[in-house]
Amino acid sequence: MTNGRRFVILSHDRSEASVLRRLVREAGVQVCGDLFDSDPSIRAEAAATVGLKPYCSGDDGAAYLSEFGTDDKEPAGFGLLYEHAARGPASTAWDFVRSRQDIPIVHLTSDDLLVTWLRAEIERRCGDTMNTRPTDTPSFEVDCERLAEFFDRVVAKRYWVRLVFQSHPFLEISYRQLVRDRSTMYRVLKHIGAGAGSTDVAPDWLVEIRAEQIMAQRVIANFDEVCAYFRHSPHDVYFRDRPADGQVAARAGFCPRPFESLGIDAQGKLRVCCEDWLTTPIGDIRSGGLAEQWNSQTAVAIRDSILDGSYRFCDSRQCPDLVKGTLPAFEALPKGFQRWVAEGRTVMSNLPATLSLGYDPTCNLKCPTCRSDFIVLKGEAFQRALAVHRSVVSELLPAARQAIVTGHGDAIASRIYREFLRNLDASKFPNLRIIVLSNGLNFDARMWETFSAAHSAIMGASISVDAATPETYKLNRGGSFEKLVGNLRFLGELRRSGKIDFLEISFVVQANNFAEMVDFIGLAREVGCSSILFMKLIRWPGTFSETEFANRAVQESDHPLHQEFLEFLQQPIFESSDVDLSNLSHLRTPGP
Amino acid sequence: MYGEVFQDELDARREGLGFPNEVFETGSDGASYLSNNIYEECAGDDELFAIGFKLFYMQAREPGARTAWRYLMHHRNLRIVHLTRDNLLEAFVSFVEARASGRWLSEVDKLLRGAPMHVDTDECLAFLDQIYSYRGWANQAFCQHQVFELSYERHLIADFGSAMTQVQKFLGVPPLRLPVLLRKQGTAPIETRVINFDEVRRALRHTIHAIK
Ligand code: SF4
Repeated sequence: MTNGRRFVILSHDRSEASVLRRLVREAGVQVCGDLFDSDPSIRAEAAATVGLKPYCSGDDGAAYLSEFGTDDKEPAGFGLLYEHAARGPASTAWDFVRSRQDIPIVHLTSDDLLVTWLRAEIERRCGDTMNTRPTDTPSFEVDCERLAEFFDRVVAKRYWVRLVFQSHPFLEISYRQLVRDRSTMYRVLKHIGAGAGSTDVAPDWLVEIRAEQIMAQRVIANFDEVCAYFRHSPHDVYFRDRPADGQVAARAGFCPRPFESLGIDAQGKLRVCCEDWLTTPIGDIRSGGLAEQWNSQTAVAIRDSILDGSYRFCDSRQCPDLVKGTLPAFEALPKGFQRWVAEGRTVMSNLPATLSLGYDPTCNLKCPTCRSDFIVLKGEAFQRALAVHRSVVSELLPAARQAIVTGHGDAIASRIYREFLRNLDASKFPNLRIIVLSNGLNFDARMWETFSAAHSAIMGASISVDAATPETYKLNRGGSFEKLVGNLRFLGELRRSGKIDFLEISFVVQANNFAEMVDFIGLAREVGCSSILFMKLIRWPGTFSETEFANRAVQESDHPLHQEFLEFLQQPIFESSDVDLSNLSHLRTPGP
Repeated sequence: MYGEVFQDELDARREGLGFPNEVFETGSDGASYLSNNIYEECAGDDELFAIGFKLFYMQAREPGARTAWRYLMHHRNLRIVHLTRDNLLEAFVSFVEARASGRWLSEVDKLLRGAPMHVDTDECLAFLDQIYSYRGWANQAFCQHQVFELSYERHLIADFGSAMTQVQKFLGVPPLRLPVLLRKQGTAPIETRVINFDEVRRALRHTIHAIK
């Protein structure tokens, strides 16, 4: 199997792998069916199509596969269902495929497991194959537990396939894509090394049995019972009303974040996006290795939701990109990333490119938007955060291109981050760019000098301010405004002199400060910032009471100052290119 | 803290609730029961800092009862303690042992010594896949809630005291030192508790549940 150009089509039972194989075959590529089917006659038939002797029960699976078309110069492949070669000596077939990381894998999945299962069930009952007419099918009762078992099995195995074949040339396609999108077959042929474009990728015989054609409601005699059984279960999704073709509210653009970013918060939760707009963690620092959890079940589900356009984990009212509609178009994504998306990969073989270090929440301030008291990690808590930090530095930092220090707390007040910046030798991480997030009160020239070995890696800083006057600063932050402005001037100088590329100041908009937004822009420009970020007030756990939040949340339509705030936002200055209204953008009517 | 108020068996439900609370009637509405009997009943009680109950993924799945899930998912202010097992095979074997012995819990000072069990590999795999599937679903279904992931092995077994402190902190209740009342059923290594362990290992080999 090492000499020829081999490929494998992996799929679950009832996934219509036979349709894909037929298409591949019609493109002139040698491919056979289920060499390890439990039925010897099917095995024999499959083997005969490629001139192979059939697999005999009890033989070693790997040894059998090693005979598969070793002399061929042309691509040749076979289908392997999740359930096949699962036990006994045959199971070494899986070891064989797993260990050959040069074998291209085509992973055929189904978007709608109910339709998949039903179609096969109808086929089984009616003996009809491609052109099943569900209208002629007598209805039948469905055993919910049996169906649930099928769903569970496929879902678990699908994840396993994505994980174990992440280092193989891997292409995941769904049956739906195969029958609806002409470019899918082209991609398959390219992937397996066959001359693409030589085939009619939508032959007449390819009839799609769509969800609505199956008419599950009519075919399943106990449909209501089945629906109710699966309500609020992992498989609920197959029973909800589905939008017809073309009505799928898929979002324009792709969010690359879950594919390239990893953050670790103060609770040890691992996240692929900011907690404020994607609340679901993908893992926990205590649950295992960082690299392993980067591809956890939840991480993969989140990436799936980006690829299918549903963005179901994302809070579209909070996420700035969703509020503003500024997700990058597929074409604007870097080439490498475009490839990942085209291959349908949700398990990443690359480690995260962007790291957000948030495990030390230490800060010299206690801003009411963030915490109700000072937090300085000490003792055991400090040691725990330090251990996390060491794992991040050893496991993830070498592969990272960007590190955000810190997502929660202050990069300068934290001993862990301060020492990290002091001891980092930028020459050892030539591709790394660091963004320092701080309240700026201690980020002065002296501090900057202590980071001298890291200077070339520090790309910029983001300073949280929330005020343009000493009085409001005292209310919202509690430090010396004068000192802050002095430090901002220093950082502005660093930017002007090209020592850092980026200097941002940020402002959480509230009832007590929105009137200072214009002055804030003035201050930012005066000190030399490159960007000014305004953000919505979010009620974090352990911060405001409900009443206090309601009093401050001027972005809410029932706030007494809301109308005034909206009018304030209409000023042309907020349209400037250096101003980012992020998740408040929707409150501003765009100018003419 | 109540026990399994949606347990299949009426007696077990009664036990999970304690006298004099009204037990959930089979076939009645799960959401109303939670609203009227579990949460609301105690709304005016100043002595109570928090109230909760235990629910397995597969409980409250019958007609009527199942609206309890809708209630929980819709009430985003509820805090969820999501208790998970890292070692699902261990969980399955404990389940098989408990089923065979009829004893689902054992007290700390009562050591159990059962005979090794035979594990049906198909049943085992279906169980593991089901838990895998439901665990992923729970993460998604409650992603807008405040959730505390409590690992049986890494938290409860490794350091019960600190795990309980964290849970109490999460729930916003004054911390109390809580005694360990129950111990896990099988304390011997799983290899010695399963007669056909090698067969199980082989059956799980090319799955997400492979034994490391
Ligand atoms: S919440 Fe926004 S930034 Fe985060 S993954 Fe979703 S779309 Fe991307």
